[in-house]
Amino acid sequence: MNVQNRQTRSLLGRILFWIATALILVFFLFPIYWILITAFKDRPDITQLPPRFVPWVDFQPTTFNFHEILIEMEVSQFGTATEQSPFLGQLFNSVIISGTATVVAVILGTLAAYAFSRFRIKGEGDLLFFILSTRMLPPVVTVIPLFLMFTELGMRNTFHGITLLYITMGLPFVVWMMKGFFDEVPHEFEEAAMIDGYSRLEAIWRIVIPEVIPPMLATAVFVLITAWNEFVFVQLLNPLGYTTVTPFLYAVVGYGRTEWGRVAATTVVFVSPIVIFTFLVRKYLLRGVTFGAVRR
Amino acid sequence: MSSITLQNLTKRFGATVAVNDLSLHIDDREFVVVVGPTGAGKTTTLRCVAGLEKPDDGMVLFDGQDVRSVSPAERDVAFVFQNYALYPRKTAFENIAFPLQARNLSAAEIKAEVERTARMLRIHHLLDRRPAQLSGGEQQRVALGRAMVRRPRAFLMDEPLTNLDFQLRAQMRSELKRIQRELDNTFFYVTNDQVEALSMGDRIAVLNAGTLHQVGTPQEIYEHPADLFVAAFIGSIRMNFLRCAFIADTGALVSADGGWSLPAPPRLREGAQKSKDPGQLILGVRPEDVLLSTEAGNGALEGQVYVAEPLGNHNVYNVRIGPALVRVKTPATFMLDAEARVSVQFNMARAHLFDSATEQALT
Repeated sequence: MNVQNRQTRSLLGRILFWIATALILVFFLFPIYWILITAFKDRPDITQLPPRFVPWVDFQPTTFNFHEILIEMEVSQFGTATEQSPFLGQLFNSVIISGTATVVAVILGTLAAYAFSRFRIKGEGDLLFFILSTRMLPPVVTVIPLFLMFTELGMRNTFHGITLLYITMGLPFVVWMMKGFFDEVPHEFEEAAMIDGYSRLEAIWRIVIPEVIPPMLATAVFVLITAWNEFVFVQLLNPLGYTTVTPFLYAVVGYGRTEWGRVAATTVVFVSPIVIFTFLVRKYLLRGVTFGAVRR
Repeated sequence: MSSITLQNLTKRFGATVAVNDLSLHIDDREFVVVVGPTGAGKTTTLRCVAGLEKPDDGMVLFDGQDVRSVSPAERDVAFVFQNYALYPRKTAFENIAFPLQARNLSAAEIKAEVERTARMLRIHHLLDRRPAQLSGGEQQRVALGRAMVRRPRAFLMDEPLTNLDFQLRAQMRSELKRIQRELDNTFFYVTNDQVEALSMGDRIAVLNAGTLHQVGTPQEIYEHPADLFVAAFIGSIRMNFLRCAFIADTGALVSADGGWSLPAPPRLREGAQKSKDPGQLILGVRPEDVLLSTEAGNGALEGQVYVAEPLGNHNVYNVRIGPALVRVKTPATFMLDAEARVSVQFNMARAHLFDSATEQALT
């Protein structure tokens, strides 16, 4: 009787749990679903009222928007003139710029973080604060001085200019995150290796780095997302060369009317690599965030 | 297999002096234990020898050679850490093999060496496990194996038994002693446990607050402590210290409160005369050199049992003599109730005298 009661209650609890989970999921996933189906609708379907929700039932999906952004785009109201879409080139720029920036920032930041974690450095607290303080100003504040600097140095519309900027933006984050993770690894590990006949660099590479790979991947994902999403700097510094996808998204909105289909299709292509990458490393992400709690 | 010499070694961390002008020589194939309380600078000393810390002053010599500019990897010493520092992602085999891999040995040679070492430590059946799958004692043996496998010139051990439970620690003490004899190598061993020091060391160095207090064989340290610190630190039950004055006319030691007076044997009398201020002395008596009796004896002091601690193979009584509290070790069969009145006799032939100003031993 008692047992049965408890079972029913737990069954009820489970039903409520799943209903709540479903509601939360719908709340968060619906915008993504909406963007996804909008990307596959043609112009009339997008603005239909009441809205069309179910592909093949409510509306016929089309790849028209993807064709537009990936290959060639109508530029007149009547569909008579087209021009080649710059999207693929800009997507490629996004990949190499944010990819390079992430790799360089993680390598340099990890080395700096190791030094901050292991050596007695004069003014360590001040240095760390200084590194963090470079992230304390919003981009709008720094964009004009940076614009002048980039002009003076001839770094506007270059690959190395914007990549350097993204490295600079990613570094403080990597230094702070990785310092915390290195602090968790006992310094005796690499000392044992050093006494066993290895140089400090070998000891770091063979013993310490394997210990911090999961949190390092998590850090890399955050740096990658920041660089991938960056809009203000690239819009102002790189309008004519090595432009990334974010200004394209802005431009594709159109003049006079909003091209929702193009916006949605661009968003889908723009977000997919990050979603896929995050999905692949999700196991490490979770462990990276809870690093300290899990290890001891 | 080297001798190790420390010459005026000094190491500071900011304003703290961790090791202060320490000089110590360890003979080839000798087992020297550095013992002292937490924060005495023992670990820092060992780390200076290993090359993990750079001394601010002084030198470390291996076989008379200054190793200042020699990296830890090239010093060819083995180090056993208190927390073992086993590589968590490597199996026991890989942990032990790791030092050999730095030395370009063939896979077959490495395998043979690791297995030889594992057999010596009786961990042969554990080689494919990771540290997390091993018990504390087993991890300890793997850490020892990693140190032993490459036949270093000396073994440096930083409280290797501290993290083991009591019984295992006792067993590993004799095991380590056996290993040292088998390896016939120099052991520089650091511990805060005076029992480990007394039972394992050929010689003991007592360190406190970065300063070396005394170096000697276990017997010398126990029988002739050089100062109050060594006298208090060495010994399972702390030595009793009683403030007293030496009266030259009568040749007697009188307690500071005047509650008792004891005739000083010639050895103590000579010691007392060495002091600048014979009126301010400290009499040191080990708990096993105090005799309790229920019958009033000739020249015995009167006391009252304050706390009784039966410990199985012996008893410890805290006895009040005037305002002072004296610890007494008795056989387990000697039973007294709390509050019992007793007569107390000190074995003055084995007592020590200390100068209370300099804290140095006078006897």
